[in-house]
Amino acid sequence: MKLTIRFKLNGKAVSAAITPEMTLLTVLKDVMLVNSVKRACVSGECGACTVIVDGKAMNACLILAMTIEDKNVETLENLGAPDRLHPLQKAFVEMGASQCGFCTPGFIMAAKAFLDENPDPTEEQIRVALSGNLCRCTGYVKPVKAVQQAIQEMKDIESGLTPVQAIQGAARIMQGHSAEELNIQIH
Amino acid sequence: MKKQGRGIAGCMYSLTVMNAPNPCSAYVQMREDGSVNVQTGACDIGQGSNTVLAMMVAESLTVPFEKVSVYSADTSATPYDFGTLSSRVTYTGGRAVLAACEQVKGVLLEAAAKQLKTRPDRLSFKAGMIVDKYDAQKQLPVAAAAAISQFVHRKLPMGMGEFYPFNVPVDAQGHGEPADSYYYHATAVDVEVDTDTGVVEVKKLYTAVDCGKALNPMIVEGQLEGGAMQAVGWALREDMYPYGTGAEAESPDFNPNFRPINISDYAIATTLDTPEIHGAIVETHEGEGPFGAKAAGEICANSAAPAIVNAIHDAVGIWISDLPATPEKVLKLLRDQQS
Amino acid sequence: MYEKETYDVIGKSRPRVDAVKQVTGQVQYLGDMHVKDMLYAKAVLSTEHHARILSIDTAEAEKLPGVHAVVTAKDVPHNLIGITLDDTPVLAEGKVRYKGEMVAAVAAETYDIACRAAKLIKVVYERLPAVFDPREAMKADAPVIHDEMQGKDYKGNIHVVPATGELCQKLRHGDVEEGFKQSDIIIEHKFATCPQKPLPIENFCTLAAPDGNDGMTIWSTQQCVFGNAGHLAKVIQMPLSKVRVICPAMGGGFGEKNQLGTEPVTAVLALKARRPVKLELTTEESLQFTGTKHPMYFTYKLGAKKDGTLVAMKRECITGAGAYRSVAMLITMKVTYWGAGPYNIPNQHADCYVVATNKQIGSAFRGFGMAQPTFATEVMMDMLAEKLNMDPLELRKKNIYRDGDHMATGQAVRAAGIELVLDAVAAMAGWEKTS
Repeated sequence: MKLTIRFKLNGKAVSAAITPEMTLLTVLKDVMLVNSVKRACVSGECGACTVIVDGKAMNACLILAMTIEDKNVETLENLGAPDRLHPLQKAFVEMGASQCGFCTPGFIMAAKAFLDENPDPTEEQIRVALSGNLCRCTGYVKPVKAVQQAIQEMKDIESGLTPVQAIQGAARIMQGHSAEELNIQIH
Repeated sequence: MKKQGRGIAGCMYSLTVMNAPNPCSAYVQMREDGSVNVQTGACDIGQGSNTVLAMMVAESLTVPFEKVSVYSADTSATPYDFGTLSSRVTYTGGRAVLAACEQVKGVLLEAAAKQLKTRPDRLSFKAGMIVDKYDAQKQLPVAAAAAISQFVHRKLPMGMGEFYPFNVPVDAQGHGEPADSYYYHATAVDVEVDTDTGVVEVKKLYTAVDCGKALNPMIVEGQLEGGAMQAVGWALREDMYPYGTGAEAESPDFNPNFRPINISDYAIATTLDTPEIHGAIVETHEGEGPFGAKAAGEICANSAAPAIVNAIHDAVGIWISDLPATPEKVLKLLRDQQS
Repeated sequence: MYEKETYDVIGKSRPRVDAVKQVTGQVQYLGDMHVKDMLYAKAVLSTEHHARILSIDTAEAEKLPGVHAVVTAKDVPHNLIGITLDDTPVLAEGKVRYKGEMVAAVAAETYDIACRAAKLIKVVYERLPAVFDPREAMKADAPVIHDEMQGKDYKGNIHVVPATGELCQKLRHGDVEEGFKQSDIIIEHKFATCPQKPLPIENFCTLAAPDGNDGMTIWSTQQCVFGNAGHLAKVIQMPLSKVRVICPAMGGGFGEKNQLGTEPVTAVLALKARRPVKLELTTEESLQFTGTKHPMYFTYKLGAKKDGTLVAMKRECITGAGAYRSVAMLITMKVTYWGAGPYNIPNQHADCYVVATNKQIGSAFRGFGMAQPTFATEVMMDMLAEKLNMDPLELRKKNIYRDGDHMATGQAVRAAGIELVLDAVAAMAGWEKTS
């Protein structure tokens, strides 16, 4: 049995022919060919397929495609382009928060949905919000720091700093890595 | 009751494959606009080798990092590499790309010397320029030398580098020089053992690696932190055949059909399981390594497990003899200790 | 080599070359790759730890509309491959030796059809007694896992060392018995380590596309493209120059993807279907089929002087290789040479065995061959420190390698950073003497 669903994908109205058992992940990955969404555990455990549905971060592998009729689905493609990165994306780049990068889209989408609702969280709250996203490379140190840096940058932008000043602010955090200090450098 | 303890451990690890020939090779070509293509069989599995190799090429040819593109791991389009294993890519791949860069520099110097009407041995590379050491008036951008060489002097600025790491295969008694170089790592941990539940929590973890010259400190930090968490998982939780490994004998509770089949059964660490991690990079100088570098990846997963077991002993006086140190095991040893 | 006084690029932190692509979702991993006319594959994994395969019935699967190829061992041009011994079948032949071993596979128009077809393949097993602990597997009455390879390669379940023909790899340095005589204190202990899974978040995945009639392009999550191209060329019986292996962006490997995984069977499916085929494992399949860190079982004896000077160390290691050899001989080589850690111990003796069991195959995993003996040796050091009433850090620093020392293999030590890293963690942790 084929059904047609209509929903919004990254702001654009789209439709897809589906079968009832299809998940949103299958639709995004195999029908719409969305690159950023990753298929891994397919059981809601790793978070690699995290997308934002009507403002909430969700595992696309756990959602039946039929249930997204009329809903608004956002993927990483919607967040920022290489020449105008979202503060989260910029912070992930600058902090070295990605290694293999496979979990990164899910991390950024989970963080985005969380920060939209909680613009000034504690580190503990960030950790809870990202606890559904697994990473085997980084030990989570740099991803959590990247979210903290992005929050700072978003605050700077909001408080009227120019983007250049905000970038300088972000660069302060990078200064901890200067090579001169590195013969036993503790961070 | 919760009891605190701390432990320390150190370790060593060999770079490059043991005993066997394990070469890496690379092509480097400077294009007529001064940008650079690097091809090598070495595969970037997420550890960052494409980045570090590009940094080495940029440093060697004095071009901006952004002008270097690395293409890797394609058996028909890139030259041979033994594989991303044995902590060998930075060391072996680095030597291969730098050897290729030396050839490129030789071609560029010839072209520049002809253009500047001087001798190649008077010229040197300096921040994107080829400069006459004795006559600063005579200089030429590196990119211009590449274009002139290619179009005027009919010589492509390209090079092919290869590197075989040193080893002397061992004999039947284990004597020889099996690997080219060695690097070192240590971990100290603060743990908390709950004597009622047997749960061990790593509160703070201090990790340090001797990676030779740290080519990109941020990437080395990533290895320190990620390696630490894999080791914590091995020490405390991660086991594909639960109850199957006893120091004395297989446990009677072992059932080979009881195996994790999804991630939550297996329980790798999440953001909530990460201790406070402090990393340190210690630089020694490896004379054979590219720019004095050794390696940084694998060893970071090796010394945390014994440090944790030593810290558990410091906290409650028991010795964990087989990994992982599950709550059941800790409780049993605590009971045995009392009786 | 190539050092300069000052650097422009080297030694400075900078983001990965592909970091911007990663954070904007533009990196193409294998799971993101689609090619024209691509078929989807599904593998059938063994449900038994050790069993004879009485029959495999693929007729129902082949009849299912949309199925293009079903393969079993008889479809593989060259079935047995391996790293130091060709004992590993691409698809199980005659017997299965671990639960999760690949027995058959299908390629179909859609992933759903491939899954349905895989369920229609009927494998009849005759269960055999299985053994999971290598110490049990070494006993004379243990079930023999590789009964057809006895003699040169296996003695019972013990792997024969190819270089020497002996049952274990050896290290002999000084005179260990004399060393124990000179020791003021001797401690002995047994250790064991569990099989950890590398578990990169990206599962094993291969896309194989026939290149005309005489070549094959294989995109795969593979850390070792050149080494494994050779094995793949052998499996599909093509010259090496016609087999192109490419690793696009990889979602983590940690050693699990050093060995062949989904590549051989996908190539065989593509050969039979004459179409591109993609096989992407699920996490459940990956957990059962691919390798683990080798479980190791150690017996240690360590002798020292009262002042903490190490004098003698005797080690025995039994490596649980799992069902096939793969890298077990190489990993055990490392244990043999360097298992005593970065310490000067003038008298050493090590015997290290590799033994087959009915567990999953051991694979490379970050820290290859050194994580396990490091655990045992470093806990031994603390046990000794306690007995001597010495600070564990002080005991280590008394015995560690310094430049110019010689390892047990005879190799000279240079650029020894062990003291520096120990000092660094001690400084950060605020380590104070406990004695």
